[in-house]
Amino acid sequence: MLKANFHFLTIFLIGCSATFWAVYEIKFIMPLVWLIFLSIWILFSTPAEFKMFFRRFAQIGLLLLIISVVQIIFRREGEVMLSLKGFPLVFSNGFREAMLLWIRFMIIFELANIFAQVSLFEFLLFLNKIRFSIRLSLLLLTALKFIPFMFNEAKKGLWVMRFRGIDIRKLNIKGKYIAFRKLLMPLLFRGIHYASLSSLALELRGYGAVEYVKISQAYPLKAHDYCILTVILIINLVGIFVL
Amino acid sequence: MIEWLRQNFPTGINYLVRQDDKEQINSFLMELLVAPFQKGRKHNLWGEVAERLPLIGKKLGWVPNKIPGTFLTDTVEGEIADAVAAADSHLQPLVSHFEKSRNLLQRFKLLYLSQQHPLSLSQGETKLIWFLSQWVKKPEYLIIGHLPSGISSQRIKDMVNFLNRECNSSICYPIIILGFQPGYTEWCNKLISHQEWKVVSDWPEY
Repeated sequence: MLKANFHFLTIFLIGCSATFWAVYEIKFIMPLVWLIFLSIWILFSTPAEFKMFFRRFAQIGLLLLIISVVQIIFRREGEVMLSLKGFPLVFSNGFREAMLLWIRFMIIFELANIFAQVSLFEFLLFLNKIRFSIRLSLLLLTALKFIPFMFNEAKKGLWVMRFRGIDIRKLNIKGKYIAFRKLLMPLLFRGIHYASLSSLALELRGYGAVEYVKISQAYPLKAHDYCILTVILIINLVGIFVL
Repeated sequence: MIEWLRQNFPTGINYLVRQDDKEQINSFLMELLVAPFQKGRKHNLWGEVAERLPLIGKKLGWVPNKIPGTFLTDTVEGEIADAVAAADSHLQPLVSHFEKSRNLLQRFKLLYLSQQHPLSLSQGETKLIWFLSQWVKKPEYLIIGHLPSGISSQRIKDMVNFLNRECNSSICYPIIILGFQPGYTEWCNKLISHQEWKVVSDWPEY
């Protein structure tokens, strides 16, 4: 079912709801519900990506683990959950914050993964249908297109550096800093070059001459969008009035 | 990979390899050295090749028709100096590296490009600068997929003369492997006439 192409509004509202509950809720349950919801979404829509998602998440796992341990040890508020010979070790607030930290980061990563699947044209179409000005829409799109461009350029620079025989992982901190600076300079140059060419191309095509351009292609909400929107509404209402 | 090259292209001679199309050797190397960077995430973000690439890069120079990377400095002489510095295990080029770079550019009649930004160069100039940055690495093998692609006939002559001159002198360090396409061999006749070059009929299987 999730193979269906969802409307950007559906994905946007999922993102807003999940972010809201992850940031403002101080109990587990709603962030956890959203985490499960997003996990199921990714699992059914792009199962291969789910495996990749965990691999990427594992890269910051150690950092999160350290922060969690710090939270558990030094946040000494709430009820005592674990004690050793009368000395309180784990407090409920510290444990809750540590858990929420993991849930929040996982939600951020999962949302990034879901938004990355949306095509730029669909995004443009969505902005156009809500009568966003063409100039701002294109600005947003260019900014989004900029991320993979910069990523590719960085990869190219890194490749060249390594092909010259420099193993960055074996460098000391000063060496790493020099290597990073070397990588950054062409990246900035290429970035500015890319941005100026893109803006020139857009201006030459006449974008910016008028405030709003109507794209005639229809972009309606479909039955599966309504189903998901209903589920989002129910989860939010339960979160507000029941839990 | 270097072992494989050593087995198929023993030292002491340079090679001209016949290829069906001008991208055959380049495609092979692209798949082996660059593609894992673009799609490889097997063991870490950059894939397994990343582990070995610095070692391979020290021993292998490669000049494709379209360069797979980017230039790291803002002048041509800086770019070559950077490659010279890397070959000397320096992260940043020293004055002597810049001198070497200028000497090389002069020998190649490219000194007028020394202060230009590498990204402002034409396709042919880019290829030549990339070639020089590979040459100064002093690799064990230097593979040039298809020399004439993207460069003018005068530049081809300059490159052929450069290779002949370097290979006849005592400072010829890499074993050069050049790809050629049957029917388009005008440029390499001058090279074939030299005894240091051996013609190989097919690019070996990896």
